[in-house]
Amino acid sequence: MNSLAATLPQGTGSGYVAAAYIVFFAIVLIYVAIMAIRLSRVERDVRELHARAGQPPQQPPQPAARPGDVGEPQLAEQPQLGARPRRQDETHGQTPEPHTPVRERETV
Amino acid sequence: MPIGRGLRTLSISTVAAMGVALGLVFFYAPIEAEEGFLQKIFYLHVPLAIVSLCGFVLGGLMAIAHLRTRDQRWDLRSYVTIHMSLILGVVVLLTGAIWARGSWGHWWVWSEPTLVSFLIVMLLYATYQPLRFAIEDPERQARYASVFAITAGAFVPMNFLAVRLSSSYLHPRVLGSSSNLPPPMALTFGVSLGAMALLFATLCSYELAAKRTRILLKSSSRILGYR
Amino acid sequence: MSAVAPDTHLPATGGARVPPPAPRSKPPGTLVVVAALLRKELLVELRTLESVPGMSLFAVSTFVVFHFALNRSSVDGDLAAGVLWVTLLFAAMLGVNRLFVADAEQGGFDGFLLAPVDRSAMLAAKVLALLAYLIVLELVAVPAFGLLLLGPSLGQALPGLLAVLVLADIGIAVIGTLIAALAVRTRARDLLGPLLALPLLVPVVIGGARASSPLLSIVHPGGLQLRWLGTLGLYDLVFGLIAYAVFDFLLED
Repeated sequence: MNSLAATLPQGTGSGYVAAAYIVFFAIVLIYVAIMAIRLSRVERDVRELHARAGQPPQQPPQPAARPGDVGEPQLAEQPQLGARPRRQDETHGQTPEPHTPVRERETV
Repeated sequence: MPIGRGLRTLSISTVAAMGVALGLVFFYAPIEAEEGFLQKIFYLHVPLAIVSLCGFVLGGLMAIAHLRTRDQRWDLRSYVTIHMSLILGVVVLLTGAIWARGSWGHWWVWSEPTLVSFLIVMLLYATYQPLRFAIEDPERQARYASVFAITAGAFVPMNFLAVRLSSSYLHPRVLGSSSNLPPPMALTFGVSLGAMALLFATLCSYELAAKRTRILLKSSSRILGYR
Repeated sequence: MSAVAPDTHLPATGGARVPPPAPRSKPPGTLVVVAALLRKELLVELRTLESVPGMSLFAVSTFVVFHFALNRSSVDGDLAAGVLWVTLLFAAMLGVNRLFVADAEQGGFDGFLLAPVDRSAMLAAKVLALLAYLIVLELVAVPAFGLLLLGPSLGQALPGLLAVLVLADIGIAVIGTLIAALAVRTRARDLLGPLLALPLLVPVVIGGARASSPLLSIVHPGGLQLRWLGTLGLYDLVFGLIAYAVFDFLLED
């Protein structure tokens, strides 16, 4: 504990060091929180899917297995927006094509 | 590859490495003669900067793989890597500013070439997401983004060279260089670097897992005819 | 009509004449195609005059703005180099914005893609065209600069300055073409182009300004420093290769 004890009274340095480390951990924690929110959303979606799978489907299921759906699906959607608000011209009025699903719930 | 494989191992290793690194920084590394306690930021700022820059270059390499194999998974990896490097890059700039403020009294100094080149790199990569969002067709978006990632990845070392050259006549490096460190500091630096690299890998893995899960979810919904 | 489909479909070079290939022989060589495309570009520019006069006028106006903004009648050394390079850079951005617009709007891409030619020909032709525009821009802007703002005489700086300008122009042309092709088919293309190009061109500004500064100095006049020429040359080489490697991927559609 020598180095720490010797310099804490110094004052000027430690404040900045603390600030820097706090900034670092804060951002990492914010990221973890965002991931947690996303996870809960995924969980809710899966649960809903699970529930609906138990009932008869409301519409005839679409023809299955388009080439892109087998195995690992393509990244067929635009990257998620994260914390930014959606811009108007992007999604309003955009008819969802089969492979670009409308992101209804992505605003974080 | 199953989603989320190895996440637990990665996370635990990251936390452990971080703990060891922090311990070394505050209890083992000696106080630097000139800068005093403030120099400890060096063990946070510089490893993050190195990891972030490597992340950008790595994103470019993954983009090359994407263009060569046309496998969209590489584009996903490239996107996540660049995105994560951007986030860490913000931390680098903030900690750099804090360090500059503590050292020089100003929140920004032009005399530190690494910080300056980092700013330029960040300005460039800040256009990555606007570029992606400006293209609607997913395949074209991925392709154009890969072209950008390759160009920008090649730009990173070029830019560092140019900025280094340009500032060699100005003040000597004030925020400390990572060469000729005494062994205890070098060890601390190395461990910190490893910890940051692990953190980067872990965060990227989480992001990738989240994205893949969402994609699977969407496509499952579609197959089952629910959306 | 003959039984064998003649491969006389010309590349969409809009009036430029490519020598029709002999039946069942190989398509025109790349150099021929580049020359044809370049000729088309320059012809179109000469007829429409939509890039170069604008760029030149912009540069001269910017010098006037600088006079008022800096509140100086003459600049030299670092300041002179800075004013010159900033002006050239932003004027170049105007040209970059317009580079692919006609192709994007009038189907020039599709026509070119149908032709059995090496796609890098379009890259080469566009880079050379942009280079030509930049040279004409500088033919106007540099003397204007010497007249309006430059303190020391332009004469003795000129040879060194020419070398720097040529190397820097190549870099601007390569990156400008690549970014123009990238930005032209996105939304907000006029914004995205300069936004992408400016950080990428910082090394060119560094090399150009640092090299020009001693040439334009009154107090400490100096010679041309090779390290900056080396940096510019390296930049041109690296990004020339990269542009050549990735340009094809921008054209597919």
